[in-house]
This record gives sequence, C-alpha cells and structure tokens, in this order.
Amino acid sequence: MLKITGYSDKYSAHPGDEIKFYINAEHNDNYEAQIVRLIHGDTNPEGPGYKEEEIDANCNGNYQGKIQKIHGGSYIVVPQHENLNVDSFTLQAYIFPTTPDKGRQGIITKWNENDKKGFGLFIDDDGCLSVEIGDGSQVTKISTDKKLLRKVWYLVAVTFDAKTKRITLYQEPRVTSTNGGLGMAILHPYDETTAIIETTSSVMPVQNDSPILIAASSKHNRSNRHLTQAGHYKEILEPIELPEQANCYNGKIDRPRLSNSVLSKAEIESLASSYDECNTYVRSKVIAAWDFHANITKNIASTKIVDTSPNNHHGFIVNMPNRGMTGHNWTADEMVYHHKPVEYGAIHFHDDDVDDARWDVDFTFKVPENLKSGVYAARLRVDGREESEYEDFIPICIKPPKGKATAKILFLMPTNSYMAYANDNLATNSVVAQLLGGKVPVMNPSDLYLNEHREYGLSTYSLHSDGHGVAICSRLRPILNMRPKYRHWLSPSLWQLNADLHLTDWLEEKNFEFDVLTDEDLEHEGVNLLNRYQVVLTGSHPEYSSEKYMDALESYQINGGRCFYLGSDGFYWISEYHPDNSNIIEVRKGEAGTRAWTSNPGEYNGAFDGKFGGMWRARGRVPSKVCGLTFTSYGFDVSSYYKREEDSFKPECSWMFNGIGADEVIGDFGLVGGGAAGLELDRYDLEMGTPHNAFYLARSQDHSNMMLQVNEEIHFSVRGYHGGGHQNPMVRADMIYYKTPNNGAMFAPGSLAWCGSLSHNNYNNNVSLLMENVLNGFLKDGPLP
Amino acid sequence: MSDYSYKDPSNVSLNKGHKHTDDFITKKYILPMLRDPQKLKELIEEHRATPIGRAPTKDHGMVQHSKDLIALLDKLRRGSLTGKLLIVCLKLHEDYRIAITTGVRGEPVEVTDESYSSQEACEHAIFLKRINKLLEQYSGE
Repeated sequence: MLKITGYSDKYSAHPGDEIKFYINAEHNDNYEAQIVRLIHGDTNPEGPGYKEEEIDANCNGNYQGKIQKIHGGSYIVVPQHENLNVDSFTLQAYIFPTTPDKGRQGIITKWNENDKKGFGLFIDDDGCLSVEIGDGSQVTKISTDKKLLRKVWYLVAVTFDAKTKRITLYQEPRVTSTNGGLGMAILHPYDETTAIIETTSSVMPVQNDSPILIAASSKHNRSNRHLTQAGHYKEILEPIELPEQANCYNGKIDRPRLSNSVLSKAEIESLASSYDECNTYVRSKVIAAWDFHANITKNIASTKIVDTSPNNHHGFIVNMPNRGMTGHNWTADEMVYHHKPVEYGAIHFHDDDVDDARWDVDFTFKVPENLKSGVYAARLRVDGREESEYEDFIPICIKPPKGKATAKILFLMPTNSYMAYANDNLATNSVVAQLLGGKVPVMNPSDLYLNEHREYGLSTYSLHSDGHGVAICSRLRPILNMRPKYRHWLSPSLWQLNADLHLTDWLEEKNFEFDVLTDEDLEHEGVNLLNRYQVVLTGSHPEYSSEKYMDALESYQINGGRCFYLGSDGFYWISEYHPDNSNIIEVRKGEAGTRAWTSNPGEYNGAFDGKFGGMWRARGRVPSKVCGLTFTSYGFDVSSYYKREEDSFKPECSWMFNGIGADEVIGDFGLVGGGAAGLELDRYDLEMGTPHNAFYLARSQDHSNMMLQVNEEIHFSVRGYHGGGHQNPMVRADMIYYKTPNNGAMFAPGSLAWCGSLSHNNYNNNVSLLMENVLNGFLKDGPLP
Repeated sequence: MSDYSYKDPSNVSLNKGHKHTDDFITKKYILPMLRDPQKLKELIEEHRATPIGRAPTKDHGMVQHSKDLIALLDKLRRGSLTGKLLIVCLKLHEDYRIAITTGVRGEPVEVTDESYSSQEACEHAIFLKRINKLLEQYSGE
C-alpha cells in the first residue's frame, strides 16, 4: 500500500510564483522532496524508458511527514448559535434517499456522535426514519420501523415537546408522475413505507456546541479545518470551523426546516411549502427554513445555503454536492432549473463527494526566475526508494513569464481532461471494464489504494456509491492516476498526462523549443494566450473543454494560428470551471456520447454555468467545427496503421510526406497498442462542419472487431452496419489538413495512440518524420504551400 | 396497517431477469464448446498464442480472436464483480499477480501469490481459471 500521496494548490505557475504542496505520509514517515522536469514517463523497456531531470529548488530536501486525511462526503454546515439549542422542536424535510439500506445516515442533526448530546433526524441501521435525542448519558431512539424505499420522495418530520416529552415521527411518501425522475410513479402498497409514530422520550436533549449538519452528523465538533472567504466560499463573512462529519447521507434533500415548537401536521405542510406563506403563529416558531433554490440565479454555483427566515442561520455546502437538482415538486414542465427554481429545491448529497482535501501545507516551491517552461513535478520518496508504493509525483506546469512566449510552439496541456479522469476506480467498480478494455484490467498499487480510500474522490467516469453519476471533479486532492510512470487499466499502456509526455519528449529529442500552458490558463486569458504562438499542439486526449476554450480554439485558427490536434475524441464534453475556483470542474453527461452515466431527467444544465450540458454537438459546436474531425470509434485492445490517400500527393500537401513512400505503411509500431491509429479514432464529416476544402492525407485500416462505432451516430442498432472494424467503414482514423484565414492551418491525424509511435526506432520512423515535416512547415512564416 | 414483512421478495425485486437470460445464453452457446474436448483445446491454444490480440504490421494483418473465442471471452468478461479476477502489477513489466475483487465497493482487492512475468501470461492464466470455474458452476446441468 502507498506510503505517500500529495497535491498542490495550483496546476501551473510562472517563474517567481509559489506553489504549495500538501503531503500525506501514511505512517508519519520522513520523505524526500525533489523538483524534477518530466521528460518521458513511459517505463516500457521497448521504448526510450523513464526520463527526468532533477532541478535545483528551494524546497528540495527531507521533511518529517505526517498523516493527513480527507474528510469525504458532502453536507451542509450551519454554524452553532444559541438559537439552535432548542428544547421543543420540529425537524422536517423532503428527502429522496438513494441508499436507504447502507446504514445510519444523518438528515438534519444537531448531534455529536461521541458525547451523544443533542438531537437529530436520521435514517437508521434498518433503513427506516428515526429520531435520536441525547442528554450526554442516555439516548432515546425512535424508529418508524418502516423501510424507506430508494428513489422515492418522502415528507419526513419529527416533533418533540419538552414539557410532555411527546414525540411524533412522520414518514410519508410523496410520489408523483414525474418527481422521482427515473424512480417509481406507482407506489403500492403505500402503507408498506408510511408511518406516523407517537410515543414519549425518557430523555431531554441537552445543549451542545455542535453545528447543525444537513446530510451528516458531527463526529467531532471541531476539525481545525476552516471555510474562509476565498474561492468558491467567497460569500463567507467569517471563517467557519468545520466539524469532522460522520454518517453521510446519500440522496436528495429539499426544504429542511427547524422550529422551536411542536407543529401540527397542517403546519408542517404549510412550512414545507414556504416560510413566507405560513401564518403568523408558524412563522413565530421557525428557527430556520432553508430553501436551496433561494439563491438560484442564472446558475447555482453558490456554496451558500439561504435561511429564508429572518434569523439568518445561513449555511454552506461542504465537499460540493450537486445543486440545481429536481425537487419533490418537479413537474417536468421546465427542464432548466433557473427557469423555475421553485421546482429545483433539492441538493443531491453523496458520501464520496470531495471539493478540497484541506490539508496543511508541507512545503512551498518558489519557481526560479530562469526556469524554462515545461512539465515538472515534485517527486516524493520515502526511504529513498523508487518503487510505486514509496514514490509519488505531483505534476505541475511551469509557464513562461507572464504575458510572454519563450518559444514559437505551445503545448496546451489538457488539464481539464486530466481532472475528468481523476481517480476513476473503474477496474473494481465497472462491470463492463473488462469488455471495454478487451482484456483483464491491470491495476497498480495506487489503484489498490484508491479502491480502499473512497474519500479521495472519483472521476466523471465513476458513479457515486449510490449509483448517481459523478458530475463534479476537484484537483485539490491527490490524483493518483495523473502521474508519470502510471499505466492505465483501459489503455494498452498510457493515458492522459503520462501519454502526453510521449509528445513533449519527442519535441525535446527533435530540438523543438516549446512552452507549456494549461486549459486553465486558456480559461483565464482567452485567445490572447494562444495568439502569442505560431503553432499550438494539443495533447492526446483533450476531451473536456469549456465554452471559452472552444471560442479560443476557433478564434486562434481564424486569426492565422496553426494547430496540431494530436488526439481523438477531442472537444467532446461540455465542462465548465466553478466561476470562483477553477480547480473544480463540472460535467453533466447528456443523452448520447461515450459515457459512464446519463444525467437524470431535468438535470442536464450545469450548476456552475447554468447552461445545457452534455456533448458539445448538442449545442451546435460539434468538434469537427474546430478541428475538422469528430469522434467515430473506440477499442482498447490493439492499434493499427495508416495508408496515404490521394490528397497527400497534391502540391499543397506533398511536402508533409517528404521521405515517406507512396505506398508506405505509416505507424505500424508504437508504445500504445502497437500502432499509431488506436484506442479512439476520429473521422471527418461534411455534415458536421469539417471545412469543405480540407485535404484527406491518410486513413487507418485493419482495425479489430473490438473497435466499435460511437453510439451518438447510431439511431438504430443494426448488425452489419454498426459493428466493429471488420465490417464498418465508420471505424477508421482520418488524417486531415486544412487551411484557415490569415495563413492559419490545422493538422489532425485523428488517433489517440498517435503520439505513442513517435519514439519508435530511436525517433527515426515515418510518424516522427511526418510530424517533423509538418511542424517545420508550420513554423515557417508566410503562406503555406 | 398491514404487515408485509412475511412476504418473500419477488424475482423482480431480486432483479433476476439478467441472470436467468445469461444462464440460457451460456448453456446454449458457451457450454457446448467447453464440453467438447477438441474444441476446448483449440480455444485454449488460440488464447494462449494471442491472449489480447496483435496489432497489424506491413508483414501481417490484424490478429484477432475467432468468433467462438470472442463469444467465450465476452461471457467470461461480463461476469459480476463478485469474485471477479483482476491483474495487479506489483513491479512494472516484471511481476503481474492474479487478484480477486469482492465486488463490495471499497473492500480490499486480494492480491494472490500467483505471479507472472508478463501481462499476457497472467491474462491467459485467468482465462483458464475462468473456464474451470464456469464448468464447475454448471456441472450439474
């Protein structure tokens, strides 16, 4: 098992900037930190092997490590206030549990698990609604003894009268044709899961210092970790110390309330609807009435939870649960939450959400002023050992000085896509993983660690523990599959960051000077950032892009920029950054596309930007409009090769193929599946915006039957037409080239495996030669041939 | 109020549809191949020679599995996650272990002592184990 893990506060930094590193030493071990430049991350003995360069840095040295844990699982914290220590009370909410059988889960709690003081509404170990009241020595626990059903809305409430010690507990399903999304509309027998329990408690709740938690309960009232006014918590006025939470709830909650008196059923119903519509008596008893839809604007990126009562017991979400979710009253009349916020009063909580590990800083790297732009990492080693259990890398991008370019070539690191794939856990969690990969997945020690440490969070290819798709990914946690040396279970070898080092290594071997910037930098600076470069190279799989990214990529080409799109399945999913913290992205997967999950009905619009999510093509921005190609097929067993097409002999194109024979097989070798055309392939499509004068340079062929057509092109599943590589002409990689205004251009080979072939035969091969020819051509000023 | 707790769960609530249909497919299309000694020998040999497939080159075309081996592999690979076999690489390019997942999220993967020097050798060893397990599972039918 791993000895050391870590993350940084940012992905990229200019010379002179500081980067903070947060480290967990699993057994409080000493460790050595060393800044390295990453050159080649592929350890395959058939290739150039692992290459790095140690860099002088202020932070290099030995450190005493300490254990740092992640408190995973989302919830709402409402800071402690004397008003919240009520004697009599009514707690109520609409709930939509998604794992009622997983064990104890907090719904609304002012409760401490250790001293057993306070009160709370829970799902109990038997999957039933329950209330607990504790005085520090004794606990009264009352259950409905009726199991809650998964994906059914309930109105739940408990009243407690401090004078009579009388408790009433309500568990009442509220099922409509639409409110359950894909859940049941016909609930029968109704009373199997309905209860009203009236009894008395022998125990009175005593006052405590616990905050109110919604969707969890407090294990410790204080964790020494604070929410402060920064990033996605810009609305916080004073720092809030977080508890250490336990008993995280899975599912939705809508309209939770706390009153300091016993409300009648009719009064509960009235308050459940809206604080403002309650009569004077009820309003006088309400301590807090939280409406999650109250601060929906054009988006719901806010982390603030609004108390609509005059008491201002506002709270904040922790660990970024999903907002903009359909509520108990969703009618399907509107599909967009900001068109009818009142029907989107739910938040979906998960026990494996994480927005920020919130670790203490262990060391800070001051980037030297003269450090050249590139891909670097903090290398951490315990006992000086290089085995994967003892070694971790925290990759970072060193940018050129602010506002400047130090080379004509830019490698734009697809960090947004790195985040989307972070810590996927699919080898152990996806039943189709072995079919998708066409082999038994190979796990690494870091995968074993992630499997057991669910608090490290998931990827947008994962499902939460309740089966709900993971829409939000943060990089403020160790991302153990975004490392040099890491071999990915899906690919025959590498994926994302480590695969992209194939490209930077080749640039270095061929003496091309280049700068490195990230997707995040492009988000902040726009096309001005690209315009500083004559040539921009993408990574092998720039699949997730924001609206600003799409704008910039298009604009750069119109302005005369020259691009190499060196992957496949690029610019495919709409993904947006949190508007106040670009360390966090959101993806709502839509009704089509190669994906691990689909958004639930009415939940297609992103919380972060309010816009329709899913595939870019659904918003009229199919990838082929910005790179000429669109995703066409995928298969992860073995890769194949290209043959030239007629256009490659035209005078406009023939210069690219200098030194390559007319009938030569191109790329029948490589470190990613043994060929240059593999894993995921793109094709041109005249119906989908490929520039009409694009040149068809080459085409791959002889793919296996594991290589299948993407589902968004299949309207009817038809045998003989939509099959694999042996029967389907849509299974191919198209290598294209087109010119754009002002002497701009795009070269796109259309394969995810492409860059894995560059180093074959000591970098002397026809993939490398073709790349070199095109890059040298693109670097010349003036019109292209 | 009624007491429903005495009722046994229905096969819908136990979600048996997929399992029962997979049983039928297995018995009709997969088991006859495995119970034919000559056919089984051929399938095992084909898999041993090329456990994953082989990329094409200018000298030979794509090497991929026969229709019968594809049908068998698809069956073996689509099994539930409970007790599913995986590969864990403990030392890059040198030590590939057979491992077993419980199917319960977050529970440790059991890494066995069964070690192979290549991914392909480990893949083939898992293939053999899965065939034996499948034959055992349906031995009375």
